[in-house]
Amino acid sequence: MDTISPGRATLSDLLDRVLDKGLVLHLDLLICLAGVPLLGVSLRAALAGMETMLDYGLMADWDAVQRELARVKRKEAP
Amino acid sequence: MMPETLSPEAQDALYVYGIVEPGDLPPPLCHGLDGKEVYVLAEETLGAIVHNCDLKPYTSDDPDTVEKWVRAHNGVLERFMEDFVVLPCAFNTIIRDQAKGDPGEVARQWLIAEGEALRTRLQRLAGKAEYGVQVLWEPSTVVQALAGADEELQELKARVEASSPGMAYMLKEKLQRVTRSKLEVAAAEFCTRLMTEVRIACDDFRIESNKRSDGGWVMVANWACLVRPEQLELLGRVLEKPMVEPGVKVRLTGPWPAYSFAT
Repeated sequence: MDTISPGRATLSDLLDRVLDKGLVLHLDLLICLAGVPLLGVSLRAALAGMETMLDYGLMADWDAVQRELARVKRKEAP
Repeated sequence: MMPETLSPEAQDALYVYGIVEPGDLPPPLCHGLDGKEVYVLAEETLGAIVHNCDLKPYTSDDPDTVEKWVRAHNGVLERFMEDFVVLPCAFNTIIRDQAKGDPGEVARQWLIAEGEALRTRLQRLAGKAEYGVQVLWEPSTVVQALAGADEELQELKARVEASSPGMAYMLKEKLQRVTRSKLEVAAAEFCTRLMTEVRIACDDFRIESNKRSDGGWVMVANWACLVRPEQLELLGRVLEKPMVEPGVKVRLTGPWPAYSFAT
């Protein structure tokens, strides 16, 4: 059985692992804005324009974070 | 205790790739996202693989840029995996210090506080790597094989052909419904059988959600396997067996840093 090395793996293979897995640090250590963890927001923003990723099911929980961030930004705007 | 590697010019935050136990081995010289200099921030026997970054996450509208970043993140961990056991962090894991502006101190305190748990996790991963297993079906091919061996489907098909146009339409709908249902059952049975064999061929195992695939293929199983080198041959043999069936494809990717087994 031939193994596909990470270098030859597809972007989907990579995102499957790199985005929503791995060690989770204590939340206090992550960048936060008004209590909203930017980690989730950043992933969504990082993938803006990649429509396939929406189908990918990786961002199901981020809509709420995105909305909350927009609300905070509006509130903070002069 | 290993002395802390001198950090490049201090910045507001630390991007963390993962955790290692550096021991006496010098860390590899490598560059991470946007060519940033990667170093190990050590405390007691543990070290965080980091680069200094601005206090903002990595975001871009350009998919190519994002791909470069994600590949760089994984590339750094792969480089460290050559010499160390690695506990990988997710992309965009960033540490800052809200109070004093010294993220390195926060990282060190965190390594001390979580030391025991991190060492236990690292021990669990020692000598093993993650492999991804994906089973894909080509429904059009599998349906043909299924229809040839299933009496109910054959009978329905015969009735469709013998019926008037109106009745044939309704029966066709039923044939599609029953075929879909039988396909789902067949996929579940197929994957359960294969999963039993795969589990024996690896140290640990996670079931992941199926992802969308291209070219008429449908992913019916997506697994993460934690594998010792001596188990890899058996895993490969187990995964080769279903490949002889028409419309079945198995992908084995890796070795990956053990993202799926880090927590």
